[in-house]
Amino acid sequence: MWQNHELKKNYDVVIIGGGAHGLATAYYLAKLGITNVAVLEQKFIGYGGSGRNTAILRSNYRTEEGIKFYDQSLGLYEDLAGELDFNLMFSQQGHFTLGHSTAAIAGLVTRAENNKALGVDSYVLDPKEIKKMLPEIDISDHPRFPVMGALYHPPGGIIRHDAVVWAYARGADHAGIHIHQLTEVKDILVENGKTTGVVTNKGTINCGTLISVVAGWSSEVCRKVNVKLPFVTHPLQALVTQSYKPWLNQVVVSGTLHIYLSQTDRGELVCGNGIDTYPHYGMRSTLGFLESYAAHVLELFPVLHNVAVQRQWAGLCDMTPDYSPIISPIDEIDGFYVNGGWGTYGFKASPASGFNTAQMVADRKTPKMIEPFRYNRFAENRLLGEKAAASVGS
Amino acid sequence: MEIIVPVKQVPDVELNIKVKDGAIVEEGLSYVISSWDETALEAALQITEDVGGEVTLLTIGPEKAAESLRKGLAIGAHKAIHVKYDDAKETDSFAYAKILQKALEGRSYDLLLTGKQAQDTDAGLTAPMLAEFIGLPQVTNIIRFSDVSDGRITLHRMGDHGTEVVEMNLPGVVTVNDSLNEPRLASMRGIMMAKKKPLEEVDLDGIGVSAEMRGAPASMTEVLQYEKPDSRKEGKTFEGEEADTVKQAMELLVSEAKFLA
Repeated sequence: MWQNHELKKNYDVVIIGGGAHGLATAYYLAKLGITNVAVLEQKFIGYGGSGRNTAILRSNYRTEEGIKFYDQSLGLYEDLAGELDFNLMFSQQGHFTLGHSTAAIAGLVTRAENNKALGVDSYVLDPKEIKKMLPEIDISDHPRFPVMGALYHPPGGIIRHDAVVWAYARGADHAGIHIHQLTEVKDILVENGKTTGVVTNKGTINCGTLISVVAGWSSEVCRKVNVKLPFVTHPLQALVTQSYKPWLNQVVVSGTLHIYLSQTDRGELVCGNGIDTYPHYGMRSTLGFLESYAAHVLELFPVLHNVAVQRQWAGLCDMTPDYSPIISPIDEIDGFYVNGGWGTYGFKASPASGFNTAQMVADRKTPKMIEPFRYNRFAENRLLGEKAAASVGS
Repeated sequence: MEIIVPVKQVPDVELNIKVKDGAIVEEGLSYVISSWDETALEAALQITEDVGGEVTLLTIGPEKAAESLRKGLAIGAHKAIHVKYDDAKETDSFAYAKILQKALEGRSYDLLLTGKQAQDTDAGLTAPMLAEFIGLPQVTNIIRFSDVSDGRITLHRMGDHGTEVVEMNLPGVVTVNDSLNEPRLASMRGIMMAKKKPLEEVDLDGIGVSAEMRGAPASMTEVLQYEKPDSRKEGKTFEGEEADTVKQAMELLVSEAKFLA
């Protein structure tokens, strides 16, 4: 799949973070002819958010900038299995975002119209139409939060997240890029306002270009060069049930109930929550999450009462104030780029994130697609409010 | 059949447990019910489903131990007792057995069913000592129940050279081997219902556990330090034709590993 290499003393580009975003960045850099690149991963590739997300893909965002970016990402995902010659098990099964109040429905209508205007397939369904596609859902007025409608997004779906990581890793490796696992960045070297290298547990590397692609650990990496960006890391918990016969053939999300679920090809239900309310780097999953998830999912699908929970876990989400990412060169340090703030919406962005970050580094110019995601938007009050479309609850 | 299942909350061994300066690093640890105790809970649930009765979980531990009790209630236990013991460090099996004895005073039960050992210490001492202190018969390392009837129980215990079939009068103490069953998982409904099940909290003073019965003064053994097992050495890869590589591997198994010497 990919080889182990001795750490070289010099690389043109060093990418910190061996998740889907870091490996995608490496892969697309290689496509642009830049191959003297090292990907440094403190644990093993896919250890962080890339292996802990619930593998949902969609592009039905709220802002023009967000919709265009995620639509590009979904398009890249559609061609990825062929391009990387790897079965990614991408199932474009359709995606429901449920609305439980008139205000929520108004928000979903806005999203549907914004999506349609930009060519993204999204429309609002009433409860009876939802029931036709999801026969087991409770659309009665008995639950605390009755289902009043849904934003339906046919191209949304699920993919095998580990396969995405492995496929990008193999693609990057075959192009000559070095992936270094168990390689932790201890310090970042800057001289006269310019990036000169990194110190790792395996030695020092000289490089003129350094990209931080570490999601939940973004603040920690930025702290090494005294760059303060508005990242706040929160855990997000998820669970998987035992395997059951095929029952759910769409992704179902309820922001009000703080839950989302889908069923894998293997039959397990993969279920996620909103972020935990406290900032934390712990990746323990809690009984409190389990209790709240069970209560909420049974409101929607009472039929799941006997479903047994196999395993639960947590991942880290680097939240930003506007729930949009930061992909940007850092003006104060020449050659230092930050790709972070992926919150709860990072995995689905991996291809577009890597593609545009690679372009930005290769051209030393920010592509138009990600220009809105520069970090100075916070100082300039040009926020990209995606909270309504990017997360559940919280 | 009224069954009490004493359970122990232990660090989750699925996660990397770190040792620093001879002590276990608590930060980042996740806690679960000791796996043998989960087997005991499953056995208790099966017995009560068969002959009726209730299963009560019992644990001694700090605040966070309640989470394991709630998990056990979600799996199916009917009620739980939490003996709150915040600073349990330096408490050994002997002292725990004495505290359990106190916790059980005045309670009625037909069977005490628990794991044959705890996943963290692997000592396997608490249950046999408890049986001794409360004066009840005990059978350890059970791999099968064949008959549960009023006042008696037939048990198959794993010995070194075969299986012993033992009949025991109730009430009594039984410890289980993990080959006894496959513990069930908590269902969504079970998780919801657990919140409404009775979880009784008692403190050590309330059950007559004096200061002398706690921690180091009450213990007969002392853990001096913890050490991580040596990490596995890197393997060796042989490349080339099969006929050559097998030969090379065999030679090294004899000369270096002394495996076939």
